[in-house]
Amino acid sequence: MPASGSKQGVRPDYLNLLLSQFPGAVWSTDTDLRLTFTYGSVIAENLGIGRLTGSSVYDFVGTRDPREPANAHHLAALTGRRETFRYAYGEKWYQVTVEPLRDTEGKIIGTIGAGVDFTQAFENEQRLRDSEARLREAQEVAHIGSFEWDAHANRLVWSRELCRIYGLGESGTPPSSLEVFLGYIFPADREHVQSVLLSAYHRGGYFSYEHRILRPDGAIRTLHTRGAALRNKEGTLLRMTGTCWDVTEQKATLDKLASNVSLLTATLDATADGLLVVDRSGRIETYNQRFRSLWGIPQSLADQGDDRALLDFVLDQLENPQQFLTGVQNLYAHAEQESFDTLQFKDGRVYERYSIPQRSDNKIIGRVWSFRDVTERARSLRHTEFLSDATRLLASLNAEQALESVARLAVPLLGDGCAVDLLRDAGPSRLVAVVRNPRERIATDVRRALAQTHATHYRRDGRAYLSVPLLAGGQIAGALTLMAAAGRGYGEREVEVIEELGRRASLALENARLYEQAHEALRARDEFLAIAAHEIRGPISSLHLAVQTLRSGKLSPEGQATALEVIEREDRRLGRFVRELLDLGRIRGGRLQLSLEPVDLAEVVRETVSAQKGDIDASGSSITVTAPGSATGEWDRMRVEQIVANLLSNAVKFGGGKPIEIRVRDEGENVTLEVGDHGIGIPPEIQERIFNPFERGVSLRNYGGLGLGLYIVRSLTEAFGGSIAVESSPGDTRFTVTLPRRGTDAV
Amino acid sequence: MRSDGPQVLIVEDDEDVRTMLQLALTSHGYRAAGVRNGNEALAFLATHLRPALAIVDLMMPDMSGEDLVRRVKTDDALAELPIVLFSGHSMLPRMAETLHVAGYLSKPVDLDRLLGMVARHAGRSGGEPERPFTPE
Repeated sequence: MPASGSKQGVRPDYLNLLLSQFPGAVWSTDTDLRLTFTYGSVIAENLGIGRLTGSSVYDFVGTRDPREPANAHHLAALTGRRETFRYAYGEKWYQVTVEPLRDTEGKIIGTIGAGVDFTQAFENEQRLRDSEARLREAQEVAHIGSFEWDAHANRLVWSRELCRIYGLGESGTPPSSLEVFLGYIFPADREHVQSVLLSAYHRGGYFSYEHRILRPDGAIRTLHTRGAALRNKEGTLLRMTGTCWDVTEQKATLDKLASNVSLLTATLDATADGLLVVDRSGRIETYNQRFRSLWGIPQSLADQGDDRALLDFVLDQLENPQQFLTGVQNLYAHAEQESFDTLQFKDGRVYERYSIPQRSDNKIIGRVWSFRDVTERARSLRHTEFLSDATRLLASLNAEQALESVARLAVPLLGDGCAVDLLRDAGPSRLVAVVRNPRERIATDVRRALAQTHATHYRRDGRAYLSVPLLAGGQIAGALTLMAAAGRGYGEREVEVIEELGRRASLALENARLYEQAHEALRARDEFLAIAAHEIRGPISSLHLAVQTLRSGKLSPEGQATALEVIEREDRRLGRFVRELLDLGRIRGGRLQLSLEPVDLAEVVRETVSAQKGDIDASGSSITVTAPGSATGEWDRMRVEQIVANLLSNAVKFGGGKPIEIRVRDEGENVTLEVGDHGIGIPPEIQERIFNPFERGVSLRNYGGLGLGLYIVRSLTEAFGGSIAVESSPGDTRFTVTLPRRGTDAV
Repeated sequence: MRSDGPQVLIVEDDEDVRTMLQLALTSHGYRAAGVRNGNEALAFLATHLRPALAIVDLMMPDMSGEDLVRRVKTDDALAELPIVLFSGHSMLPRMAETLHVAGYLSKPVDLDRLLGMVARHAGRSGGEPERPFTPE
């Protein structure tokens, strides 16, 4: 500056220039505050030089009131004080300083003042103050507190609101150290807060954390803090500043919301139904895990969020993909529509599908699909229906035909194949085999199936088989075998159903067997009655003709004798028929009476042979009796005679005129009677039936008689506690009766 | 049983019935031969002059009356032999019709009816009035 140097060097015109352009005003007064000197651009521009000369400060401010600020500050300066103040004049603000003006002895002779235009700065300051006030106000209204920590000065400033939030009151002071601050924090959250702050301290940048505080009044609040650690270019931390607000209520609401969402998610995932929500554009909104597992959808595919891709993926699984697809498209085309359907899968699964529009504020925003696996229920229903149908079929008296129908009914519900084998006299015989695929065959292990009285599992040719026995009369009568579908086996439920089927089929076989027996018994009885009628008609015809011929008086004496012989013979024949019929009635009715006494079987044999001599001679057979002197036991004489007579007359009748042997043997406890002949013999297949009533070893009407003889012999023998056996081949037949010596006392 | 009247063949397995039929017919002027079954009857017919009439029981062992009738009807030499079925069978009238036989007699039979039937088909009155064939 050219004027610098020494005071003495400033020229008066230069000084005048300086003062006239001084950016403000300078003035001096005397002790009466009369202006003695004024200078400066402000005064020049606003007041005009010279106008104030000779006037006083009082004139300038327009009042003599000593309380007026300019007056008061000037008066104070007269008392020796240095006054600095702001003063508005015109439209401007001035920063003014007034000091005492002293002479060389230091005596106050007036005042000296200087003022600069402060308007701009003052307005800025004012605006800043306003803005700070508004910020504070806004923070207080929003309950947002703020803080600033000056790293260099280690000075922490908290806003009033922050103090209030921490429960310190509006006039509270911020914590004096980190330790004090941490003391305010809920113990469990301290470590977290400290680590966030230290991390920000060391690394800078933005940070935020949530923590709880323990207020002096005991309340626990949750606060959210966001802040920034600011550093200079060199990386030195300058300050950390930020805001903090109370989120206790929001936190509670959010927690509640989160809890609701998690409850909803958990419910979705826990439900047995698969759920899928698709928006109206075909995007997947949500689904649960059950939905994925029901359809076997990979996570990655589900995450793509495209319903169309899901459809493509699942179509192959369905029995009728086209129908399914059409149904789905139809529902997407008609957003309002609800639907309930049953989906059949190729592998036998059955799902129920329920679909409803998803609404929000009464507006359809998507569609909810719900899927439920009802395979077991459907299967169980089908099994019940199957058993019911099978039972209806089996309620037939033609069990074999019914079993064939049942086998057809069982495929494919219970497997790919079903076979029924029946155990017949000649061995196992296949009744029916049904296969789903005509090119397959069912490779039943018949021997194994027929050897078990319970369900049997086995594998053949890679297939699972299950056989259940068919029982009739407590005996294995056959087996029902099912072949599982490829790659499948039989589960507990299916085994139960098949076992039940086996039981019902057994019952049908049993019923058919009983029916057959009853039918056979009826047929045998009818046949017996027909034979009896025929047999009785014979003697009656003879008697009828004999009597009428005798009456005609045309018979020669020899003819008369012959007719009388016929009458006697027919009388005996009818008498025998009547006895046999009475015995049959007694035996069948359990009314056989025995009167036991010592009886010599050898003697009875000799007497019987003698009594039948006529018939024996007529037949042309010879007879040999081999017997000890006596063979005595406790028997009923008449009944023993009946046994011997029946066996003998049979031998005569069927002996074909060949020799007959009778042998009586004493065997200690027992006595045996053996009657043998050399006639036509009894075929093996009917040997066991000849002791039944109404049966005869030869075809109808071959030899007269009611066919009751052997039945009566066996019944009498058993009544004595004995037994009868037959051995026969063509040309050699032998009946052996074994009688215990001491007859039973039983009836 | 000496007689020179028409011969009647009796085919009946029941010995007493056969005996009594023979006795009844011979005592009324017929000749009567008896056999026990169809085979014996065919053997008889093959070795004897054709009888005037055959009385045939339906139910017999070896060869039934029905079989015998069919054999006779298909044998040119025997086709003209009149046959009367003799049985207690309930279907007798129907069988007689089916087999186209001369007549039938139900067991037990009255002597009069027997003689009438035989007289009608054997072509000789046994002293009894001839009766028209009437089913029972």
